[in-house]
Amino acid sequence: MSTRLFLVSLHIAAILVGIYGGFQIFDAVTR
Amino acid sequence: MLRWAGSIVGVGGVALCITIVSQGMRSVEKIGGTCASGNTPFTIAHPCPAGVPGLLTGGIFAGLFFLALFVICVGERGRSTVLLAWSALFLALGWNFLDFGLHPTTGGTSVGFLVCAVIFILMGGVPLLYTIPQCIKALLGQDDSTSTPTAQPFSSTSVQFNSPTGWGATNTPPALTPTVWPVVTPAPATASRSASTAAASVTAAGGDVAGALEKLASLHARGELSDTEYEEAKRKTLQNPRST
Repeated sequence: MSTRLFLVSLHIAAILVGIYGGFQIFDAVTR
Repeated sequence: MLRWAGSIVGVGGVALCITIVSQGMRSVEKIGGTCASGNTPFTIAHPCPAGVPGLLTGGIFAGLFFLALFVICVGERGRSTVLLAWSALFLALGWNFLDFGLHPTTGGTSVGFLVCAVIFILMGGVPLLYTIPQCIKALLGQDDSTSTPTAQPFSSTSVQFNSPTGWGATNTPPALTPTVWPVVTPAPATASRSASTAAASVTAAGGDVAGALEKLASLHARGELSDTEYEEAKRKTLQNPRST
């Protein structure tokens, strides 16, 4: 169970990083 | 390990692309909701913001790529979470419509944006009613693949030999010709079915002795009739070819 939670946490972290990266890329391209 | 890395990269990439598409949509809505770009013989009233056409196009295709990567890498158990991408996309775009429908740059409210907001929020929100329980099951390790198997086509399993009326001709559906019977997968109760019943049924369904014998041989070859049952059924078929 702890392994599964760890992997789910990694996925959630990846989503957050993706959202942050999306904002950064959009700002960099449209600036 | 590689699969987990792929699914993490995939889900992060999907989030990145949805964010880019959502931001691109907002930038278009800020200038009224429409824009154009490229070399045209006409004068463009609303030129697209710089870089947005490329970001929107690239974001859609890159998002599909990352979604495919996630589907390939995540495995059977986590596959139900794929629908979250659909909800995330439509809820994000629906929020943009709602935001600019209530606060358009031209002032007042924009009914067109609000209609789109309702449609998009419904399209994104309703699947969540199915997806969220599936995600909770996946998180808790309750795999659906071990539950009841899906229904099979009629010609494979829905014909039960131990049905009250048996396997006789009166119970034969019109779509099932005698040539279909050899591919029917018998229920477990078939093992206890007598050879004489098999002989009578095969004869009744086929109507000719040669066809009945072929079907009995097929059943015997597949192990659904023992040697004794096969011999007895064959003998009964030859003795009384028109029995029912």
